[in-house]
Order: sequence, then structure tokens, then C-alpha cells
Amino acid sequence: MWRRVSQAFSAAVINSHWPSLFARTIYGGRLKGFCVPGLNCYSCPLAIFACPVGSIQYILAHVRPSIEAGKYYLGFYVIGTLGIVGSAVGRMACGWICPFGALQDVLYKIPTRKIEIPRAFNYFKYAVLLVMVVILPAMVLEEFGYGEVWFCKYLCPAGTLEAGIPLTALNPSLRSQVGTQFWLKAFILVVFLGLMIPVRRPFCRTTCPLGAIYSLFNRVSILRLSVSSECITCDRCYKICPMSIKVYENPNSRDCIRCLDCVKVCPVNAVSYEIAGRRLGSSEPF
Amino acid sequence: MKTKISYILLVIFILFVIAGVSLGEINKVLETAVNLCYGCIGIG
Repeated sequence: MWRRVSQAFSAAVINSHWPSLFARTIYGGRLKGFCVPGLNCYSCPLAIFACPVGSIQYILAHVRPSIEAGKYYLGFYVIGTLGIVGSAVGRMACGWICPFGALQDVLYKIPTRKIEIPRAFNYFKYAVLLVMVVILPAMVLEEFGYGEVWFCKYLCPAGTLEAGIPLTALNPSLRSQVGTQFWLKAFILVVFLGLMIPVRRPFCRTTCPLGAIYSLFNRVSILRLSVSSECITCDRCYKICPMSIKVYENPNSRDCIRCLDCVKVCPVNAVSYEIAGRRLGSSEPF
Repeated sequence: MKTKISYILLVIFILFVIAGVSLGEINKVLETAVNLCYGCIGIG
């Protein structure tokens, strides 16, 4: 219940600049200098914060000209922001704040035959992070030394949903420029939206570079999960887990989004969360 | 031990943010985010 409230509240706050919708543009105030800890496109007309994935790509795409200009923009601010969130709570922002994660939770509730995807697909997000967010923006440069935001441009379905569709719908001049790239991104969005109904969080599990960054912190974050010897391996945690994790096998799995649903459903209170090594909860999170 | 590592990481990343802000990266992020990203929309 609290997670749903948090997801709804975060989505509403992160996307709260309604005047932009009527002006058919995007918000341009000082808040856009701060990165939101979830995947939320900064070109969404309603967005009031910056997307960390877009920001880091942009900084890496401009790293060479910035060094030549003696500015040394190397991404410390964005990496530091993500690192603070990750080392405090691991992937918890995916489960409690990210609006695109919330959308996946909602669509999975549509009653239909549910399917599991092979666990090997979960590693694809690290390739996306390394290739599309780091290597290509920093290494593939045009003649003036600037790179491109490859993940945003060719893959990100959140950008298409939150920015591409509303802005082209609202703005005839943008609509007239729609071409192959837009339709390719729209196709990727449709594929993911289709997958979100039978598969639990397909984008978070397989593709999200932000989730890939946070996942590296799950084992060492201040907030961690633990399973006591009272566990009866009833699999209730596995059945409710949005990331299909057998919590008793690996309570701090890289894929865990710290939704804490497993803590709530455990019939013997064997699953608990701990902060800085101190066990705090086992049945009602927070 | 893991708790110690978490706090060390936290301090390191706080220093990263301080370094980034003092280098002016917050303005770079602002400059990025206030301009329409044609790539994000799928037309650039």
C-alpha cells in the first residue's frame, strides 16, 4: 500500500509542471539542474527534474570539447547523485520512485497468462549501460568532437512515451519532422508495453541502464534484506516478487528493487530488512 | 564490514557531488535538461 502511494506521489511530483502542457513546450526552471533518481525523460512537458541517464550521456557526449575548453565536465555530479542513492538503498528507487517502473507494475495487473523470461536476459542491461550510455556517447564523435545520446535516441521507451508522443501530438512543427527514428522508437515502446502485461517488469529486468547502475550497490548498500533460518521455502516471496527472485536464495540479488513485498508476505517473518546491519522490520515494512 | 563499505561509498559519492557542483556540472545538467532533446523525442 505504502509503495503504491510512494509511486503515485513520486510520479505526480516529478511530472507536475502542467503549464508546459498548455504552452506546448517543456519546463525550463532551476529545478531541472537536479537529477531525479528514476527514469523520467527531461523532455516530458510535465517533468521538473533532469533524467540522470540522459544527463550522463550528454556530459559524456560533450566530454572532449569540455576538456579542450578547460572545463573538465566528467560527470561527477550525476555519478555522485546515483552513487549516494545506490549506496544508501540500492535499487529501492526502482521500486518506490521510478514512474516507468510503476507503469510496469500497473500493466502486469491486467489479467492474462503470465510468462517468465530466462534469467540470462537480465544481463543485457549491463551491455546497454556500457555500450549505449557510456562507450558510444563518449567515443563516436562528429567532426566538431560532440557525441550523441545513443540510449535516448535509439532505445529509451520512457522518452518516447513521456516526451515523443505528447510533444509530437501537441506540436504540429515537431509532428512534421517525424520519421523512421521516431517510428523505430515507437515500435520499441509498443514491444515493451506488450511485454509488460504477461512479464513482470521486463524493461527493468532486461534493459534499464539506471537499474543496472543501482544494482551494483545492492550487496553493499546501507539498506539490505536478510533471511533467517526460520524460512520454510514456501515460495510466497518468489510468487509476489516483481523481479522473480527467490529471496531465500539471494536476499540481496542485483535484481532486487527493494519493494519489500517479500517482507510483508512471509508467513514466518523470516524475511526482514536491515539498516546498517540492524534488523528493523519483518512483516510490516516502514 | 559491509556496513563500513556502504558508509565509505556514501562519503566517496558525496565528494563526487561536491566535486561536480564545484566544477559547474549542475549548470551543464540544467543546460541539457531545459533544452528540448530531439533525440529523446525521436526526431533528432
